[in-house]
Amino acid sequence: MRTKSAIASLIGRAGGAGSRALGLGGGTSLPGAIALKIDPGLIRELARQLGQGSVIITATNGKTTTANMTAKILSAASLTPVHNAAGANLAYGVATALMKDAEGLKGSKIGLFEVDEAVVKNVVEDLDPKVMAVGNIFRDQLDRFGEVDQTARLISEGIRLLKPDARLVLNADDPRVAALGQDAKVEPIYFGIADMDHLMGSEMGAQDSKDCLVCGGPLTYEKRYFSHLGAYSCPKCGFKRPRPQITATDLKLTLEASRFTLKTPAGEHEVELGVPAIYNVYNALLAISIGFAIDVDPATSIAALADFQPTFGRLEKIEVEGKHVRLMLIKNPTGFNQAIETLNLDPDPKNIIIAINDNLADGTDVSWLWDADVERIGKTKALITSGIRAHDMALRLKYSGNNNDIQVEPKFSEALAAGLERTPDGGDLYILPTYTAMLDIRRHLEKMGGAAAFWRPGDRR
Amino acid sequence: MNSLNLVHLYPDLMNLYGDKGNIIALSRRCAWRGIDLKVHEISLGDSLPKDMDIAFIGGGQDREQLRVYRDLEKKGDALKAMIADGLVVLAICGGYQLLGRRFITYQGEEIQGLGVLDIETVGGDRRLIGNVVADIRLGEEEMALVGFENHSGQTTLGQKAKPLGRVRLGFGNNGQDGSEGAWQDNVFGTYLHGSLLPKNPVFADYLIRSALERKYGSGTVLEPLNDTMEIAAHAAAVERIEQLHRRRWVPGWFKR
Ligand SMILES: [Zn+2]
Repeated sequence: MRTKSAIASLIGRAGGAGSRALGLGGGTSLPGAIALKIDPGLIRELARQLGQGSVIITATNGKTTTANMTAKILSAASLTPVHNAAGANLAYGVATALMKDAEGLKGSKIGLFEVDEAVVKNVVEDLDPKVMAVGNIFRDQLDRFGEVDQTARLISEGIRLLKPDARLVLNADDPRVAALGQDAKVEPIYFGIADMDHLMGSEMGAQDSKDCLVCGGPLTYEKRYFSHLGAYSCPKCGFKRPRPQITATDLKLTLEASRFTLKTPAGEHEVELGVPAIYNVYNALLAISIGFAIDVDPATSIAALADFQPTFGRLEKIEVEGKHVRLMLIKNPTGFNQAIETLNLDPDPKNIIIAINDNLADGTDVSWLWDADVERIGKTKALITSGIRAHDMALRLKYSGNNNDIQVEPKFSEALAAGLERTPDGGDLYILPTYTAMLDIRRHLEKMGGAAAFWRPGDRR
Repeated sequence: MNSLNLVHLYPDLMNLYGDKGNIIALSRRCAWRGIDLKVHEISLGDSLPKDMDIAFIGGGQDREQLRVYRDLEKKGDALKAMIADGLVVLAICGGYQLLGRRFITYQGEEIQGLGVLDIETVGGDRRLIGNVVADIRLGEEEMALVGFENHSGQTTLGQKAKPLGRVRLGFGNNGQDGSEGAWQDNVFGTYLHGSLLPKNPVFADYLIRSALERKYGSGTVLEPLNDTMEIAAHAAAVERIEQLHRRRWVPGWFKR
């Protein structure tokens, strides 16, 4: 290792440890931030040492879940992922993950990095990945990136930098993602869902991708599964959903599990996942496709996912006071819609807390609440809004024509007390928080004794 | 029963940042009063329906905005005639820029706007992003508009347009002269989304009343609504924005 990189690593790690010791947090990206300041070439230097190269995953939604699924698959295939866990997905997080293992990146070590759309290009340049996977492009945290179009452009710049022997994995059902395969130098591996039973009504979904990315004309949909994901074509230029090599059919979805039939060129398999909803089927397909791209047998991948648990805050079940608290992180209209669709898998009137903060990590602009299909929240027993923007959320619910009583409790402690009080023993309390709201709510639940099985960002499991 | 016709221009293309919340707010506030508000969605290639009372246009991305500019040229004369006849117009962000005399992109390309607002916009090299509080006077009533802005275009007002409000917190039209939005006859333009109308019910009602008066004559009384939740949300937002501005936080490493 070059002396400068070694020094940068050392100082960065010391800085991260110091920050944790002082209770400042930031252990997941601060060491990398410090080290990159000292040596901007650090990622490149460390990545070159990885024995099995690296895999990068980008998507506006579900990156963390997908990366965790992929980690399990890689481990099952006797590889040792070096993973920037739990949302520390900027370049700093990548650097931090590499530095942690700097003593031994050789042998079975494979880099597994979830990467923000905005930094994909730089990360591809530095990592020279052997697999790049793109899951979806939804409207996401607009106040951070400026505009939606920018996202696809940034990712395609990353794809252009891939080496000819790299593999590119793309979601065939997302027209914005599939279009990225059009002028790629490498032949993409496409995955998708093929199931007529899980189509949604035409009125539903934050449809932020209706135009053909190739010619700008309007797309026609033969079927849609979720938001703008489906089977589409452009009457003007002929661009259409590419035929996926890896598909899920016969979907059976419940609040606790998802079952489907996986078809790959290597054969057919039945899959059961311990996570609900159609977007997790997409996450699993992406992870399995990454495995496929590096010759992991699909049967091995499926076995690896058998005991997969929901990621931090993505539909976790926590027992508190004899009640089931179910946390579903929401961070943009699509995530919000996914959460609503998931809780609609429960047919009974529900107890719901929606907790909206507007800190940097949540997105400072709360206008996205108006783009979510809040109208689809069914009958509720308790409907409570909480967080810094509790009043904005309450107003959104009022204007959705929702006839349920809306209770506004900006303080999480009071929202939780009210929610738990109105939930019967053994009943479900659904909590839909933004990111920092979720962290706070977990802290409260921890105090209430629901903490035993918790893990925090940065922890490995 | 009173009725109003609202034309929503380019809802498929100009729909960033919760713009549909503004349509929802107008629809609900009319419905709660028994006013029949019909929404007509008009996009590329469609012709404008007659006898409209309110027009709304939201913000869009650059690519979409250019297509809308070209299409709007074709609808221009019809729309201008309706505006000259007192049509109430609310235009947000990109839609606001479109109604001006011209837009000069950051690369120097010049695009002619509809020209119903005496404003000019120049593309900037940084985005003006953040929460806004702007003081506004509607008739006898003084109030604060709250919302969120996110734009790189910087707008300056000519002689005929007056500012919709004065920026108390935030950037506004250009971050320089303290003006926010523009108001000319019955045309209202603003950079505030967020969504604007639900949290600013007095402004929402001002637009509805203006449209009713134009159609049914002055003296139209607007039945008051229970705005407890709206007022609470407005107050909470002002308080939050003041708190953020006191802190003046923007960690350096998050800037790009
Ligand atoms: Zn096309």
